[in-house]
Amino acid sequence: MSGIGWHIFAFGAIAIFLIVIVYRTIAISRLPVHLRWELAPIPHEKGKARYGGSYLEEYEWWRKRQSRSFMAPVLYMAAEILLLRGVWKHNRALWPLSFAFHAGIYLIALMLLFSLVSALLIITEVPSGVVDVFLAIASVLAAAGYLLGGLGAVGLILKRALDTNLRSFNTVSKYFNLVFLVALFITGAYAWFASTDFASTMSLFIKGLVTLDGGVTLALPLSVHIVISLLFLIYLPMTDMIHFVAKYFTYHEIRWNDEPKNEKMIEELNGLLDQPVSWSAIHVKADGKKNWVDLTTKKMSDDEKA
Amino acid sequence: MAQMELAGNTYEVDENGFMQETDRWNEDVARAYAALEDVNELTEEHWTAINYLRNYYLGNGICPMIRRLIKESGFKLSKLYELFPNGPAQSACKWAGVPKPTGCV
Amino acid sequence: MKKLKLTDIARGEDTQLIEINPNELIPLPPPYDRVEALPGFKQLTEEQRGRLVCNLDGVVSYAALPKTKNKEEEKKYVEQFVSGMKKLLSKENNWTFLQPLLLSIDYCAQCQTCCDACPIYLASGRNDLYRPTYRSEIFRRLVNKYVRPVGKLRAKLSGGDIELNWTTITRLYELSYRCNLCRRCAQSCPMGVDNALITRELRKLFSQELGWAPKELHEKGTVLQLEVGSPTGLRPDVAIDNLQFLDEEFTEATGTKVSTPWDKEGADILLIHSAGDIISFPEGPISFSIICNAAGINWTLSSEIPGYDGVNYGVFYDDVQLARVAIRHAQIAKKLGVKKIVMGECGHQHKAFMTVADRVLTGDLDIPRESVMTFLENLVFSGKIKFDPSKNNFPVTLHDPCNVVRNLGIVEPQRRILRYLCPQFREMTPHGVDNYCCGGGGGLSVMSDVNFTDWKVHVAGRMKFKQVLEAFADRPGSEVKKYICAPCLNCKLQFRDLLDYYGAREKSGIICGGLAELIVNAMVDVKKPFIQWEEL
Repeated sequence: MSGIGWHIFAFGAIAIFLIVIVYRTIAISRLPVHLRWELAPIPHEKGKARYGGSYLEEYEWWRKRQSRSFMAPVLYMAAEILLLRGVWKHNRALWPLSFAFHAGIYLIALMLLFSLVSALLIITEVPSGVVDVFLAIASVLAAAGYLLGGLGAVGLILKRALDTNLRSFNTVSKYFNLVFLVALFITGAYAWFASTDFASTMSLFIKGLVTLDGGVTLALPLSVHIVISLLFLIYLPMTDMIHFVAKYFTYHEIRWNDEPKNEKMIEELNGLLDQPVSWSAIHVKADGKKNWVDLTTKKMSDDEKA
Repeated sequence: MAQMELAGNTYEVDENGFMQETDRWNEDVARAYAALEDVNELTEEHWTAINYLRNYYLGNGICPMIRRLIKESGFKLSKLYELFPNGPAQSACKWAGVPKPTGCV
Repeated sequence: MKKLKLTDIARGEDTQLIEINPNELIPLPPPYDRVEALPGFKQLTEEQRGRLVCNLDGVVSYAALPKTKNKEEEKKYVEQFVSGMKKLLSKENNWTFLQPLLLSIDYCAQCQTCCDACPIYLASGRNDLYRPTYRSEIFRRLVNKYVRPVGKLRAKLSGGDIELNWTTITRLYELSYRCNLCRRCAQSCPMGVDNALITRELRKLFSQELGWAPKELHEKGTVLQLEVGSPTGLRPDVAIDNLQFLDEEFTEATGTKVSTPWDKEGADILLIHSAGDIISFPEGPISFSIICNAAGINWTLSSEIPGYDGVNYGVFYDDVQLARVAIRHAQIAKKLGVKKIVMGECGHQHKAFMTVADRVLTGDLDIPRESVMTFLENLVFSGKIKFDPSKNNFPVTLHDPCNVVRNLGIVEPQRRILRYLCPQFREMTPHGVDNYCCGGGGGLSVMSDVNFTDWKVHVAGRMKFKQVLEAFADRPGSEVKKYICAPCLNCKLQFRDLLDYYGAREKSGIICGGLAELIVNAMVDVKKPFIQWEEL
């Protein structure tokens, strides 16, 4: 592939990635408000999160303003995302592999960021000394990212295949995801070793994309790696690997959602309670027309009299 | 529904053998239940407890609290366990032909 | 132990999937370590096996389904299961839990981290059937196969395709009642997936679509409560009569005048006990009467159906019944014109009424609701009542009801009371929001028929019993009287079964009671000892 083909492929993949993620995020966020189902500990509970306490411990809690911490949930999520806090705490044996795997992805993302910055610096004709620093950092990030990611992904495949605790839950798609990522990491690592100057090639490639330069060409190893990476970018949002999005909701909207009703919520709830119910069991007494309010506020015996 | 033969008749019972048709109870049923738990003779004391339980159930739709049974029958809990091998809830209620207490009890 | 595959759930028709061997369960400390010295694990009779569906683990409760008469009927139920899955995923029929359900279905990473958090799985000696992931992964695959686009093809391609048949649904039904809904698994999940929620959704599907629910929870549970007033069958007049009897009894026994107000309009506080407490643990409700009167509180109980029974089994299995009971409770409080409602010592009442049903109590039904732990803490430290903590000088440990602690974050008030009033208070390990369930959670404590209690004392409650023994390990002998403070009726019922089965009152001197009893026992004005160590 050369010239304009790369542009179409790369921008297309990025666009699909973003569109699908945004679409799925909106789809989750638009699901109706649910009944409360919070779970301690909730980090935003000021002074109480340490032992898992909540504002419901307070005498006549409804008379007090809940003192919520803004920073505590952010720090909690930072440790969860960057260090895999939950896996460390509850599944230490899995942590080294899972951490290496995730760290690999984070480092590669960071490498791309540095490469992009380098590309912009080259375009704006910043002195090459500065660019070289960025390229050097990008090169280290790439090597570390491919290595860690590759080790993690291969390790996770082996663990899935060998650990009897996991084996019976494996599916083809879980393996496929990991194999895909192994291919991504290994082709990346190979491209790094095969090229004398991986980082600047990458930056120049990005520069070519950004400036819509039709003359972009790449050596075979890096081409293969970039093709796989872009395919993965398209594939990723179609799978459950977008748990980084889902996690926002499982934590903030469910576990940590201890919000009392407010006017906006009540308005939404009134609409939801007004919907017809069609569950079939006799005791529900639904007929597809009666709504939630009809079914739950009348005494059971009222119906029989009527 | 499970069924059980007691004193020559068949009765609907729950999985633990408690009668589901309280009004079909008679004294022979009580004796038959007792015999299944190796109590071959029902004494005056047995009948005091059984009749109290049964009458309370018929009047109130529920078995009496243990405390009440103890007070009204005059038997301590240990005595009730002597009379009814599996205790007031598992034996006495069953022999009296009232359903097993359910719910959070 | 035999490894179990997910696909096994659909295979073998009426044959039992696993066998529970008491020797494979995790060991208990002495003197409870010898399986042969225990009363044994009740086995089903041939007659029961012939009549009931018992194809899971050889354990059945009142939940057991009768065998069907023909294949047609079986097919009908299987079709209903599919329509139920569709309704669970629809906004109209399941807005109540749609978002949490979808997220838990779609984002499990199959890492099995949650298994080590589950007391039932651990206690069972790691039996595959009891993994929190076993039932939910099966359900997940069925949902993906039958409700999602090109599901059948994807199921074939992905491997581990699970067949949906009568065996699958009947086993799933029983299996949905082998979970305490304690949510320890959810706490440990890095993704925030909630297997307890999936279990409850599965129960909802069976109840709301197929009409399958354990008799104790439904027919003799919520239905009886809405009709008669209480799942115990306690009628309003009998409730009042019983408490009058208890008022007199305890006035005599304690030398303190006890009286309980009923249906007082304009009282500040409506206290809703569980009716089971009145019947089985009357020291609890009576303690509240003593404490409230001593502190000069303007309070009342209600005798309106079902205002004297705060339980709400709907939170275990059915959203419609949950809402019906909660709304009825709120309507009663509104009618009395109270300023707040105080939850009795009942965990699931707390969760159902304070949070889960919060968003169906709109408008003037939104009457403030407070936990009994907070309420009691306020009274104990108000200075209105004089205490002598030395009256409680015996070992006390605290059980954390999951629904109050892990689910609502009400952790410290009860501890502050115990640290003040019980000189020998000690914690279990782990405790607080990391506690283990008593084994009666999720409605299981009211399910007792056939050999279900055997399962509860052997498997579900095993971790808890072990924890209790370890907490008292410094004073093991039966001559030292020890108290498990379990401020929840369902937990107390489970402890009663555990202590009875293992003979722990005789062997270790352990009894179980509520929190209010310890408060009354320490009151200077209550002259006679309130807590009775011997049976009546």
